[in-house]
Amino acid sequence: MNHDEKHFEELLSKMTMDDKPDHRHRDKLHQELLAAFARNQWQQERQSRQSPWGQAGVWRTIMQNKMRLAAAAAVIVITGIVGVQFFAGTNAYARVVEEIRNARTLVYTLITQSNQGNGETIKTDIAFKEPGHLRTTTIDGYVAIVDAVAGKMISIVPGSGYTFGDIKNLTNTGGPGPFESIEAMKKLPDKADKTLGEKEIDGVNCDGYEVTQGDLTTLVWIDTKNGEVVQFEQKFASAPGMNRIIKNIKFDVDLDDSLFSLEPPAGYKSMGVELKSDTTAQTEQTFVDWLRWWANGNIDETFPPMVAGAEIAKVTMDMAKEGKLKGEYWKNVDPSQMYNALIFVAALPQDSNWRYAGNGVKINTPDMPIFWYRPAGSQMYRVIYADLTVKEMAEDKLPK
Amino acid sequence: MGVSEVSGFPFEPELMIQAKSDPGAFSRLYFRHYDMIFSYCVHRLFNRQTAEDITSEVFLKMLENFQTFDGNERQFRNWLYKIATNAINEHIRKTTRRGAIMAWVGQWSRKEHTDEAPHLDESQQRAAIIKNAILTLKPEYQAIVTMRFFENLKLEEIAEVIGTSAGTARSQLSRAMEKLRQELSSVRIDGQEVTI
Repeated sequence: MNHDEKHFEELLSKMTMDDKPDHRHRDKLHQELLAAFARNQWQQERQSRQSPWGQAGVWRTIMQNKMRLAAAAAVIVITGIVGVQFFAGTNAYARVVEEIRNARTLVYTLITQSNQGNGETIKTDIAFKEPGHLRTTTIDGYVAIVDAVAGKMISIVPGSGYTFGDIKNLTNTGGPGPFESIEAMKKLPDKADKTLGEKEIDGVNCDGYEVTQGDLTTLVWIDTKNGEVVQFEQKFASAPGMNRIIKNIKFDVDLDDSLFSLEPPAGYKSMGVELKSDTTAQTEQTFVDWLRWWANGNIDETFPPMVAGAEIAKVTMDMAKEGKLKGEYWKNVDPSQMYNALIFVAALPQDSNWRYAGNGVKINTPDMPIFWYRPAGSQMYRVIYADLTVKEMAEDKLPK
Repeated sequence: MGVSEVSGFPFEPELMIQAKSDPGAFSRLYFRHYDMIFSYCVHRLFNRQTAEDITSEVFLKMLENFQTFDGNERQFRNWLYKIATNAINEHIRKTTRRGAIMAWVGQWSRKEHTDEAPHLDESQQRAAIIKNAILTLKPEYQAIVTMRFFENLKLEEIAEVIGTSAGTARSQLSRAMEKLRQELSSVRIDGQEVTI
């Protein structure tokens, strides 16, 4: 250091300025980063896999839902976590888009209509709070609370009990996670592709906008009077019949931390299982065993309507109410068996191109493939038949 | 966890790897660098609010590319400085904040030389004058001066941040010092020269 620099350093040492860090900003930014960190982990894994929606024409045999954390058993159902993809905006969007980007909390109602199984329509209320807290509540009162930062969740079954889940490893499954929707919302483009004109929704006059992002087309309806978003509609080009509606959307409402508490509610008892998301421990045999168990456990002796998604919880409950499940089987159900089977599917790489075609198929139906996938690193597919035998098959020989 | 000392900064070799997947390790990494980046921002911008905004921008930008960053913690620190330098320079260029700050500082400086601002002590007057002088430098030189004298980075480290050689960094620092000398040459506080 030369003379000038030493002298300048002395000058600086005599000056005072307000340059001490403020812990409030440091902590606030920390929370934002943790939230983004959690979202990124899910997003990166999801992006590393091929979109399941790109397989036009096979949707009717596919149940590859956006909801990954799956259920356990008939009366021990673990509500899944809902992934939602959102929309983009133009003009009137600007404020909506900005609100979403800056929102520290979000609440909305998600209505999904699937053409799988009995064409179930599922309504779920969702609350999100930075950094990575999610609470889903079905109309039947099933609650799932997720703390993505801690990697834990609790599933609460009304009138029954609760189950803990360890979801740390699920961030490595590549499955679309609970923050897919949040991440998509935060990254909304500024402009929509086109305007749709006016439409009345629930008595509110709305302006419509349409945005297409890959396979997903989203319609955004905004109140013409106050500019607030009224409804989103999502449609998938390769999945006709699969629609989602998002409504009752509110940003930055006060959400008490107790809503996201992982403490079991008073009066509820543990169901005696703690589900582990050990994706490496679940094998094809785990899945096959569960398929057999399920088929033998219902009076129609058919395979489950789906092998992924939170809807399976709802469908299972409905089957129980309709008396379709064999009591002697479900009485001693092992919740982890179903969970592990679903984890096996959830953990398959995106380029495994797995497909499920077992809905309504009876066990032991001859020459009937119900599930196929390509294991990591393999050129050949593994095809599971209704008699639960498994064969290897080249891609061009797969069922169409 | 092992700790190694590089350029006076204790680094934890495993932390960078753990932070890629572990929120706790990521938090630790963040807290180890927040004060440093905020300090640099506030010493560049002379404005707390703007410094906090830029600090947020720096860390969020960092997170966007963190998974693909493949360096040790020393390189990570320099990377943060580089992001911050770019963000600050861009901010100055885009918002003409520099002009606004200079005007503000200029008013303050003029004010403190009159009877209208008797509450400013010598240290405060000195601060205003030095700020004013630094802000007359072009942003690239401001970065070098701030890193050298406020953040106490070595020339080699500054060179790494700004992407040049130590020799070039030395030359640019010399030019910045010469400019500062000219700016401060005629300034006096309480009859004493401030010049370097």
